[in-house]
Amino acid sequence: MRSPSTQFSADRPGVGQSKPGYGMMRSYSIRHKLLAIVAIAALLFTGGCGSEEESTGDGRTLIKLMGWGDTTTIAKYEILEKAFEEENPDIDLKVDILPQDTYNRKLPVMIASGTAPDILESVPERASSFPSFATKNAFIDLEPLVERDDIDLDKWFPSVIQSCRYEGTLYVLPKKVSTPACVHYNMDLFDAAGLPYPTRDWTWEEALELARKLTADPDGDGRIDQFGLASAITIGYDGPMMKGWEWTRNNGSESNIDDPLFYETMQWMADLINVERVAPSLEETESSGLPSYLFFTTGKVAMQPGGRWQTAIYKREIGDNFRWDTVWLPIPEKDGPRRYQMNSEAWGIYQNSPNIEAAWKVLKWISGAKGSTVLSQIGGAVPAVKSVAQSSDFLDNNPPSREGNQMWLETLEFAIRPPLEPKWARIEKMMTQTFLLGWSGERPFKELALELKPRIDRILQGGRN
Amino acid sequence: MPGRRKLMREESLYGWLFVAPHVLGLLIFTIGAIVASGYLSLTKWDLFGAPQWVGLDNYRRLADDEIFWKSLWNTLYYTGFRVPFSLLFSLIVALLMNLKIRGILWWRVIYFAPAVSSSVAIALVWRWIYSKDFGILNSMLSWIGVAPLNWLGSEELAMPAVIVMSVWWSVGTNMVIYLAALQGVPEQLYEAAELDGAGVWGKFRHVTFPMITPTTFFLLILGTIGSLQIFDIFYVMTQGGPNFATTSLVMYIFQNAFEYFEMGYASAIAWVLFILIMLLSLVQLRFSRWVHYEGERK
Repeated sequence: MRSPSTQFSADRPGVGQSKPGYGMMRSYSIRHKLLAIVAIAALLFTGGCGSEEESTGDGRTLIKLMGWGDTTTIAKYEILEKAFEEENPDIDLKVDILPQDTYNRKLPVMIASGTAPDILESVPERASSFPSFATKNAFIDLEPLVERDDIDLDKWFPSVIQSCRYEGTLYVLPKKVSTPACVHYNMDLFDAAGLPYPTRDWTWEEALELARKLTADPDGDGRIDQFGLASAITIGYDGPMMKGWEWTRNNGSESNIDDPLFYETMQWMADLINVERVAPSLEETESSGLPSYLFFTTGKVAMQPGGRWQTAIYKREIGDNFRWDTVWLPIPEKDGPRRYQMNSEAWGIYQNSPNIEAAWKVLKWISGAKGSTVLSQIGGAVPAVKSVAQSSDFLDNNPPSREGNQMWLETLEFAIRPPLEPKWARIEKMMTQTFLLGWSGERPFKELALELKPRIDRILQGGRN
Repeated sequence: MPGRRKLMREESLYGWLFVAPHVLGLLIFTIGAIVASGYLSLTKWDLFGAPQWVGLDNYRRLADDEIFWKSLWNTLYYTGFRVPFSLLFSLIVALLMNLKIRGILWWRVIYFAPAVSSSVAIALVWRWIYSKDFGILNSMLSWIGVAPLNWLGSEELAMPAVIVMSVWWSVGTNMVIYLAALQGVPEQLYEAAELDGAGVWGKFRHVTFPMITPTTFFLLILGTIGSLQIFDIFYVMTQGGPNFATTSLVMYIFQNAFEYFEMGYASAIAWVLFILIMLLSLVQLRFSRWVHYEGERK
């Protein structure tokens, strides 16, 4: 809020003002006039300076890549850049990393103004951006290039490549996969409580039982310091999805949130926090000053659901403090179906790039076996290229264990992409806003879901919101 | 006389030359942007490709948009409480700060401090104060036996909570302005009032208050305009929730433009807000006979 005192002086309005007389001494010499003109010109011209990216002066083709991440990502990309440029000295690869929010906002503006970089990162499962980018010609169709250069699409996992298509056209090539499909667990805490480690086929009920026994107040101060679970089993709306719930029915024209499968599952998950108290609430997470995924590293939670993107961080942060491993996410029902949400990252080539051939060269390399190998060595996610993911390099040289890593490959068989609804951003905001009341325990999910359904339907049915 | 005319023309030319950069900036970046957004409000544009003309469609859509009406209501609710309370408390504080006691300067500093702090920082601190399980407010309420309330997480309490914080924050700036006005009230008027037998309340009612009505009017108009455009404190404290209970019009514009990429629709909402502010300001100006300007003959 701007302070009102900036614009006005404290003069009382209405007081009679006398007109300034012409009694001033006039002495406008040539010098004064010249000074005035120079000053004004300088002011006008400062507005015109900006920085223009020129191509590198040394004859190499400049290819710009923009992605999101944080300081660790920058470091990873530097390694990738160097490895690429060693093999391809005629191309200068310049990587720009922005925080995720900034990236999401800046990219459409850059595309609109025609200044987008040659290679763009994208999440093919993100309904709010991928369909728009694909259908509004932000990415080029990669199929002709793939055919021309004889690229074998089978070298990537089929579920991942499938995700890179929108309405049949191939728009991006995979970078890596980060399916949220695992639970990291603290073996030492399990040992201390005398509990068996979770196995591949454990169910939600079993997870709850374990969590109850692992939630404790070791220092007796009345506040729970050790939680069984770091959050409600899965992230967001994956829970109902794991039970087979579909987002929409009637060909995408009606929302399915009035299905008891949805709100009962969400309620069960929210109850883990508010009723069972085996997982910390949002406030408790905030008050600790730690991001929630770091609860695990400090031993505050026994089980941390998540994905492989946390594994590298954990390896670094936990070190030898305690023993840990990963196991599959529990399935909702014994012997029930297994479904996980596909979550990958990919790169595409900007439609108006001045150097499509060179950009393609870069894309082939970074998305292919070589780039994938480099990325998997610096850790963080599952490589999308089969040969790299199945190599001993990946399976044996990464925490927590070979079985843990092997599990990732198997989860890819069960990963599916949720439907991509272009109006998703609006729907998602409605859902987040409304369900906040459910997560905090203020109102039951059933009420919220039934209230929300007609509003979502209106958006789905086009136009009005 | 030709010499005098030429002198006036030359001086005014220089005047214009000196303000040229500022005026150009105003024309291009402010007025130009306003006109552009007016045009955009008649189009559909998601930043990809060119804007598509849709005429008054965006405005028709507003009529049906639940969240638009909710955010309009929220904005009016906020303004309706925040402005009067802010004026009231700032005036009370200013009157106190006008007392000639020792160390009053330090008190003024304390009350003014929030005004120079970053709104984001203040919002974060207040978020902690209002925290359900860890906040000071609930802590203090528990001493008198009140159960912890979810201030920022409840649809009914979120807006009042933010209004309280906003009023507290505004006291600083407004107090300084009122102080200046109070100190400009001529002493003779107070003497005359005393001679006529006025007590403390009488003096306030018949001398102080009328003399500072121009300032009150000024703060009222600016306060209204500012409150109708509020965004940052809602964004930091509650992100517009829960369930859109604290989504203001500007926040909704922001969401439509930068989260849903519907520039045309956002521009339409912006123009509705513009017209609303214009109308409210005009109404306030029209009904401003209560403002007493010195030197006027009634």
